[in-house]
Amino acid sequence: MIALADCNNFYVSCERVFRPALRNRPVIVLSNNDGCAVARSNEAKALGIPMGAPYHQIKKLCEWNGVTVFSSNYELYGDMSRRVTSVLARFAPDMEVYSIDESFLNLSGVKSPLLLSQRIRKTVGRWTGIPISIGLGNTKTLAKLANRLAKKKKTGCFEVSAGQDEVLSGIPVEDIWGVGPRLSIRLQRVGLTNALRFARAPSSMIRSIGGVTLERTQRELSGIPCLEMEQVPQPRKNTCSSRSFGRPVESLSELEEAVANYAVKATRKIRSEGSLASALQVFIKTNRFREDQEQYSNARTLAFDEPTDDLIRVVKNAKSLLRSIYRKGYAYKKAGVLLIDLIPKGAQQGLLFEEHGNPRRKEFVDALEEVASQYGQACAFLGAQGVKQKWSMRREMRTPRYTTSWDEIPVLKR
Amino acid sequence: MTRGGKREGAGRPKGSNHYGEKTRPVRIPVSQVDRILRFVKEKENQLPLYACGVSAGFPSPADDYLEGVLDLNTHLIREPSATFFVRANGESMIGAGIHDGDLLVVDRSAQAKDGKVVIVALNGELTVKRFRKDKGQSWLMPENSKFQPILLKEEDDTHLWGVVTSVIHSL
Repeated sequence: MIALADCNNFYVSCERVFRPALRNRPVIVLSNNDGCAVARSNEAKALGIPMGAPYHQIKKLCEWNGVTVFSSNYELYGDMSRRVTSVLARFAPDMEVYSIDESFLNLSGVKSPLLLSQRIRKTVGRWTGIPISIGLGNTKTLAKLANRLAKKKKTGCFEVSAGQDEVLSGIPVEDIWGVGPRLSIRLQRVGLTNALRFARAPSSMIRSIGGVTLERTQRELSGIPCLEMEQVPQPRKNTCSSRSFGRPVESLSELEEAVANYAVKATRKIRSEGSLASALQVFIKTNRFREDQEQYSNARTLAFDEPTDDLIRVVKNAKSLLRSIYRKGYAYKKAGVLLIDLIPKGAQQGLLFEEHGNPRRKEFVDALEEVASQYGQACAFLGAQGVKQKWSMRREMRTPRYTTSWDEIPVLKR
Repeated sequence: MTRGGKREGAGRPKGSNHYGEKTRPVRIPVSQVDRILRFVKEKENQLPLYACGVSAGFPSPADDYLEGVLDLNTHLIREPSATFFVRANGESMIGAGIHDGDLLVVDRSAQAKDGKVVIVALNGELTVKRFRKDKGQSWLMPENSKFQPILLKEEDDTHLWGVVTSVIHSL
């Protein structure tokens, strides 16, 4: 038996733990730069605020209905996610963290999975303050499907087995995990409108529509496990660090600062995973929604002569790539740095005439990273990253980082 | 000319790796790699606590009695994933040793029994009081005669947030 534990309206729930006054009130959380609604409380959903709605379109609606609006507080969400995950891990050592708010748990061998699920749900709720729902099924796809239904149950837990025709027939085909919007249109066209019809369709037909991947989804719906639990996250092939700017950026020097920061961030990611990057890409874009403005976007890639995780080298190269694609006179909205073809450290091919990196440089970068991780990133950084960072993200309605910063922990009422 | 077999002098000279000494591969189950690396990292960051003062200059006989580390986290935190820190505000709990601005360690996994100091969400705000159960009624008791006890009623919007397990008071 596989369980999918999913945090309810996760970002909103994180905010509510520290702001109990917001219980039972409409709350939304906005994406980076306060762009669009990425999390909604049930009360906000009931007001008709759609997922992904641009904030400027719903601002009035929010004001009229007293919706509390937050900028995203990723430090808080990341820490709360870590807590939820570690409580879950006590109940099922064999688990797969699927996303920031979802984990699959392997409950095979458990006598009464539904009872255990209720205990898990209660414990997570009490310990972390985050409400979760648990869906149970013989396969990951069924567990995922059961989770949708669990959200509507009072108990927050629900089990779906392959034989439950009446349950499957009530599920629209586009709600099945692994059936995207494009596939669901093709499936509906041939009459496969719900999960039951999809599960009963001849497998050759399913394969012709969506290939073996879709056929696997179909088998999973019939209770035949085809997707393994992935305990160890697959090493990433690429990593990207990019953000939209808080305001349009025109000058090369500000763009350089931003790109240097993204390069540092991306390099830190690969260093923490113990990987080396084989190539580097830098891209810049103007705001394509501003049709009144001149548009420009470009990207350029460079291959390192040997895979590297050298911060300084990545930053230097990122800046020179940027300079080669930068055009004056545009209002840039976004930039990013992509590290490509990551390979695990130790598996790299050496150069014929050169040692791996410069040992003094390596020591310097390691020392810099240690200082930054011990004393905060504001203590030691590269000059290229800039001091003021005027271009940085807009998060005007962010709550304090209640759990990750001593200066911002909750203060009790007098 | 011979084919195959050992070629003398081939490969990297012995001991020329970047550790400057012989190395040995150790097998770790893939699923445990992250855990073990994290464990080693954590240990490296902890300061060893010596059984007696360290005398500089010559090797201390006490080195044989290295007693591992004292970690305040393990002393103050029983359940890391359920533990939060909050800051006290005001003097209503002065009798319990909680001063204005003190740091409170809050364990959400602990049972809020009669007599425990708890964090309660009371009408939408977090507050610290002593929890009392008496004849079927629940009370929030301040520890300062200038404040009134609060009787918890059904209609109040209250829920227990966590149990205060330690106070950290800076002098």
